[in-house]
Amino acid sequence: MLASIRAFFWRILHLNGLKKSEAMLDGELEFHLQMETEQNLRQGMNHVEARRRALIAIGGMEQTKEACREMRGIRFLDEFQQDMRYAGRMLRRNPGFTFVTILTLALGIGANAAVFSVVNAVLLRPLPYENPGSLVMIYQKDLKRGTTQNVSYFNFYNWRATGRDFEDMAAYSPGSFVYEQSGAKEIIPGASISGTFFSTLSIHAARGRTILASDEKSGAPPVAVISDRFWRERLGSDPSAIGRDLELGGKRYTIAGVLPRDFRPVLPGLLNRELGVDLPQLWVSLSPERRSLTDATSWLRVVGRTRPGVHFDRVRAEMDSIATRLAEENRGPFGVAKSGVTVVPLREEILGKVEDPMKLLLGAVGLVLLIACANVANLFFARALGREKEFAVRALAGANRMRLLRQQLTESGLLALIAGGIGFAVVRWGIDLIAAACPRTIPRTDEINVDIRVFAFALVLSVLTGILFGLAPAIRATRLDLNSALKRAYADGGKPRSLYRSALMVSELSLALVLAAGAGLLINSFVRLMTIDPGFQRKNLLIFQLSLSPGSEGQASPVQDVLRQINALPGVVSSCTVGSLPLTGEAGWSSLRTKGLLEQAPPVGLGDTIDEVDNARVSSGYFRTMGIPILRGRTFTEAQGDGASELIVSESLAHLLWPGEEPIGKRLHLGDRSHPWIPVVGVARDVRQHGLQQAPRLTLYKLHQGGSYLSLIVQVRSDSTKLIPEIRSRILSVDKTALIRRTQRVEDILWDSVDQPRFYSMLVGIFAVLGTLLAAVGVYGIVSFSVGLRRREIGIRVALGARPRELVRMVLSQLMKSAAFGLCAGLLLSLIFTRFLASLLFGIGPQDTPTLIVVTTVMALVSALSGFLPAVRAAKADPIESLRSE
Amino acid sequence: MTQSKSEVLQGTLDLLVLKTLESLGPMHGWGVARRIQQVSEDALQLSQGTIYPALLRLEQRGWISPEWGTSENNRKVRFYTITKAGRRQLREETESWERMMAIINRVLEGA
Repeated sequence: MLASIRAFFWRILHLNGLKKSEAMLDGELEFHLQMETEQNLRQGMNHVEARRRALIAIGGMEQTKEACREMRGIRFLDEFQQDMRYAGRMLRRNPGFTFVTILTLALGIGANAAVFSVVNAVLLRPLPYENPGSLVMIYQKDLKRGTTQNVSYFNFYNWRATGRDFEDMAAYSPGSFVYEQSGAKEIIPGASISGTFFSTLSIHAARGRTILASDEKSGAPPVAVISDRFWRERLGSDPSAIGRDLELGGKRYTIAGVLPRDFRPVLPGLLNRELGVDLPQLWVSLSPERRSLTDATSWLRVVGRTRPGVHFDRVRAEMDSIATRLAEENRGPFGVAKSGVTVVPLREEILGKVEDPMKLLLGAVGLVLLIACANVANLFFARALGREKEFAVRALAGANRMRLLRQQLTESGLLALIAGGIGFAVVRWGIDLIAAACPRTIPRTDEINVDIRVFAFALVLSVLTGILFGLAPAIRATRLDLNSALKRAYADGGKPRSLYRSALMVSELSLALVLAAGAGLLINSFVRLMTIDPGFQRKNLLIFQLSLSPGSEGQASPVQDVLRQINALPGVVSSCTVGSLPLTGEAGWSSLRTKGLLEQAPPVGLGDTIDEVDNARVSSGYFRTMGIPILRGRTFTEAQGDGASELIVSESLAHLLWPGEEPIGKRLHLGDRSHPWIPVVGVARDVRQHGLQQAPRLTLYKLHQGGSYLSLIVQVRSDSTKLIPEIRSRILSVDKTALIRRTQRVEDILWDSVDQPRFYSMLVGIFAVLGTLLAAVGVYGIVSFSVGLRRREIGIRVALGARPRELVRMVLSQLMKSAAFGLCAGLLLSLIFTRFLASLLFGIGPQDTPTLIVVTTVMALVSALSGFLPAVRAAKADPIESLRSE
Repeated sequence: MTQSKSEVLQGTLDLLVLKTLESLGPMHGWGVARRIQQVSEDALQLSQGTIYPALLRLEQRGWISPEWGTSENNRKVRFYTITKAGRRQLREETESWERMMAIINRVLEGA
């Protein structure tokens, strides 16, 4: 083994010294001849005789050279060159064949490379941190519910101080800042961070310094670190910006430094959806009030770097014991001390949800390539049959089977490499389009590019493809029976070949069916998602996110005025405000304590608290504007004024609290006994306020008409965005300092909220269409080919009086046997593989019978149709013509 | 060529060449062929078509190494020397050859 590896390298090393070693060999052989001759001379022969005898004894000089050349491995290269020339000639001679083959394969390989470029950026590339495997996310765990939550500063502070298995631990809280430049206000995404943030991630500033541990000490002045983009776009790349003051939302920060240009933080929660999925540009130190150890609010996200060599299980155990100890000591603020802890590897936290869909896409596009390979294999096979004579002649001329096989594989390999090159080039130039097509909510899609790995993938895939579609036809074609091959006319086709063709057809149809089944399920699920009733109106709703100036003490907030102004606009049906933006999943929930807070005993089976009740603070026009029906009782009256003196509950909350009873008139406490009893005046229908995929949640509505940070919802008469400028100017006419953070249509929010399911179902759908088309072309090709082989037979049948209809039936019945087999196999495969789709499906199971029936029927029709055309053509052919053609 | 002077088995040729080089030191190709022929009392005829590919093969495997030298009749020619690995190989080959011979002998003697 070692010796043969050595021999291999010897050959490579001596490749460029070819001429030299040839000359050396010549010299050696010449010497040999001389020595032999001299020996003969010594035995008393004359010169002529001595040389003649020597030449005889030595044997063929050329054969020796040839043997040595083969030993050196030159012959292999020689033959390879020959094969390449020959392959090139064959491909040029048959441009139609070459074009179709290359197109098919380029499509397959290109599509695979494109999907791989996405998977590469999202999944395969390591996270952009030093030693990313040691980073973990740490969350607080609600011990009662088992749910994870963000972390309070108290917990973070203690974890960081006592966690021995951690090198460092950092906290951050994503948010946005109001940045004012020459009178214009802008909202810039950013985050508040602990002093250990950048050291934990091992990120250094490009200019100045990052935020340091000292910035977290009490009394430290507030500092900010800015992104390279912010520095260039807003500060004109001014080097003197460092050390200057930066005013954000009325607070002053000193700019400490600028981050490197390539710093792309990949951490949970940092992509700001509210501002249209953007990365943070401003990083500020935690404000003193947010560093309060007595505040129970859990608003921080915590990331930690574990010490090298420490096993994840040990980290988890250590954190658990720290949390338990903190709970026992019970020093923390109310409610915080009793929390547990959850540790998740950063990679899993960020990529866990997209791992399966990415694999799914790779699998789907891989199927397309397999079908393409089957098509090309069939073409190769058909062509090899036509070249049988050529092979036989070459075999007679002394080519051995390996040599013929190699020549065939060179041809298929060359085709695959050209196709791969084209496919790769298309991906290379179209990479921006690919990146733009990906939903921004899939992490790291902004890093999609073509790197060496994408290239290597395309290359390896091309080579494998060449072998995959080339090997079987090559083996088949070179399995020669010389005698009969030369004699045989191609008329009879032969049985084993038709078996091979059926196998191709079965695999093509079954693979296409698997693809179609997957696509069918995903699209069906997506349609269900889109047509689901969210419980509120989808159309004609505009949402404005506002920051109004807080009304000064004793003075009415400007909200009422704003609403009045907007309602007066022609084209506006009604308007309202709500405390948090629906459909973004950011509505703050709060638990509702039932024990002792209901007037009568809570119903059987209901514990102390009801989990996760949404607490919506809405203005009186909310239900009318959103189109949410009030099922019982009435809506809020405007005259009520501010404050929670009336409640409206959602249908399911009413059912939970007062099963089978009249909820209107029942009373609730919010908070504890010190708060007044509040009567329920109405029951509203359940709505999916957290997005289409989330089931409706228990909701409690309170009347609230003030506040400064809120969403304004306007129902307009026709779905037009024309009113937007008008509405904006009305808002500003009431409150000159109002900040309109973002304007969206509800429709668009809904559309954006399903970007990932849409992307996956669209892509798999495209692959399924491609796969089905390829399979149809394949079936067409296979049937035309086998009909062509039976031309003589069909001619005779026609001559004997068979009618076209019977002939078509004959051809089709044979086809349908293979097709039926293929579809059955495909259906079985689908049942196995669609299970992996389960987590991506909404509202249907992975073995949804109607979908599978529809898909199978479509595939059956497609295969029948693609077989029908060649069958009809064969039946209509002139028998004399076909008999003569042989 | 008569039957008795027929071809040498591939594996044994390597063995013979290595043995020759080990016992006589550096030699050129013709010398090796001649020597084997002599020792075998002309029973083994090595044509150059056999000896040179064999030398090349041994060189590729690193068992012998070539060097330019001057022959007895004053010509520049390649001399082959057995390497350390070549000696090891020779030892192993010899052992297995002897083992094989012993087995075959036992069988032939019809134990």
